[in-house]
Amino acid sequence: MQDPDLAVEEIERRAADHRFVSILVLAQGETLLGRRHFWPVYRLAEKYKLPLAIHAGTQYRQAPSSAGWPSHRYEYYFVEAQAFQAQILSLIYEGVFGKFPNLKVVLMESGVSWLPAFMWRANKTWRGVRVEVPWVEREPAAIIRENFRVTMQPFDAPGDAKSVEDIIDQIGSEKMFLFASDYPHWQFDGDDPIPPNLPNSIISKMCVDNPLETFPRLSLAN
Amino acid sequence: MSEVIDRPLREDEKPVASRLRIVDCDVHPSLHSFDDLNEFLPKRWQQHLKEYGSHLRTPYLFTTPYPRSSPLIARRDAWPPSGGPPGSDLAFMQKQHLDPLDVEFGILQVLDLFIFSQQNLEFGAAIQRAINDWQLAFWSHRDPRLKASILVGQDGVDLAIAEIERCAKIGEYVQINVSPRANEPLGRRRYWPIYERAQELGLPLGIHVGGYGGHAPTGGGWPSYYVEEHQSNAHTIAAQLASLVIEGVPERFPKLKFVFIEGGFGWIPSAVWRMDQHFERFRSEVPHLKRKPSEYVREHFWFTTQPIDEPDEARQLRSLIEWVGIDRLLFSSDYPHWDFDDPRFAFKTPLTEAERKKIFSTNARAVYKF
Repeated sequence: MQDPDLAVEEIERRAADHRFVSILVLAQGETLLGRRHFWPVYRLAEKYKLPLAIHAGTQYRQAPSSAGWPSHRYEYYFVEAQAFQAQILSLIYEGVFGKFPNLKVVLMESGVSWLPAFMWRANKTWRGVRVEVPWVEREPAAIIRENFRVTMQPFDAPGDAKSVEDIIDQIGSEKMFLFASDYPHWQFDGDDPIPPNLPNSIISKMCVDNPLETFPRLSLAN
Repeated sequence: MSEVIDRPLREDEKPVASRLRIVDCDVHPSLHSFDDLNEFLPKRWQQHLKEYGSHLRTPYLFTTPYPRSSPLIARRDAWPPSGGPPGSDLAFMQKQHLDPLDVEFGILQVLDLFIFSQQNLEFGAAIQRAINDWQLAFWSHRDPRLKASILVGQDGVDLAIAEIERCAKIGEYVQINVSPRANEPLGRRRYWPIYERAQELGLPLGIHVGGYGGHAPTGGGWPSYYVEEHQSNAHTIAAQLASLVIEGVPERFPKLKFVFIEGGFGWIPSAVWRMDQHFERFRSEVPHLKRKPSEYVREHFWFTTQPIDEPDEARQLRSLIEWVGIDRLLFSSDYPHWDFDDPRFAFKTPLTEAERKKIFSTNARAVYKF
């Protein structure tokens, strides 16, 4: 993404090969992903049904959080979730989904449990100052539920059934969830990569239906 | 968002005397003009302020990097009829806010002059000292409901400690305020002498959102709009919570209390779950931590409620409050800013009388000891 022209060239070069199913970028690059100079990439992403996959990771161009440079890897891993949140807001408020309404964005290794409160806050802030971004005509949460998908590892919640059920209920869209193991990384969530106490109805959707819907080229492979 | 009161309350709308009197943990007084500070500021620094103004890590003088939707981020009805900026006229603040909402105590949070973000540390310390005096002379002494905070810039650790000592001798301040956006995260060891002194004096650390420490407001870079920057305030607070806990500040200073102001509280459960979830995996990196992060959070940290979260359904706000813990929450209004929370309407979920009492009064009185 340092050079959108070259990125566009590479996407064009691979587009006919259906073994490529998404465009992978980092959660923390040089600038936020909503910026207009990236839009040629999103135009192709929409055209070729390649979701934009944002994976945890940084170029370390700026501090991993607004608080500054942390001492520990543990803190860095913690604040990484915030970078995904900033990317969601950037993509929405710069108007990417007004221009490319069919673009899908997949958050990879972002954590999941922050989504409800993040969406509440986004809706509230948008209601307060939407005059600044009049091209965003719907609540951010509605755009998030429609255009974003999230991988289920790490889930970042207590294992009890009630909390998991509440979080799923608050996110309010079962089609957002995608199974992921993070294999072979050490953050892999134990022997069973499916977070405990997920309702059965979600498990089959997140393992099969949702990935096929999110990555349409999976059905075209070979 | 809460309903905005853009007219004076009629007599029949005023709260009845039997209602709970509230502690408002975030009230913003404002300088009428820089001249307010002259009597507290040595000539040298008055001259400096006139000739050089602020030196901040932002692109403009006397304004913010993002236009903030509302002039001086204020409620449109909060401009005093006497002139001057919102929050600069005590009589008007009493009439519009303190009296009708039955505020028993209000804690002053001063943001003028980007007080925490001055790059010239000596100038910053002089301004902080002047504003600490101004809070007493212009506000607390004129209305004893209003409690002052000791403002210090943590990047000048020695200057900060000298100011804390000076104010502690005066004895009228209820907390020490430091910046959420300084050169380094708050947990870093260079700031520990401040925490050591705060613990000895029994003063909580108050951390109000805002300021410009030079780092991008988000971990992904600089956003384009205020609507993004506004939400990044909660990120900063969450990152500072993680820094303090993971560096072991509560472990090292077991009696120290932290109050995070204007970060809201919706983000807390997931932040604490994430810290706990990854604690086992990173444990060997942080052997100084004896307990799970959530245990430190539940003992050492309090959070003011504004801007209150507005979930789609009332029961979700209820779950959120239960997850955070009712004892952690301190009511705040943010008067006179545009995103003000009105204590009568902000909590859109039923609370018992005992719960209301904790959030609106007794939790704050216990933290601040009044």
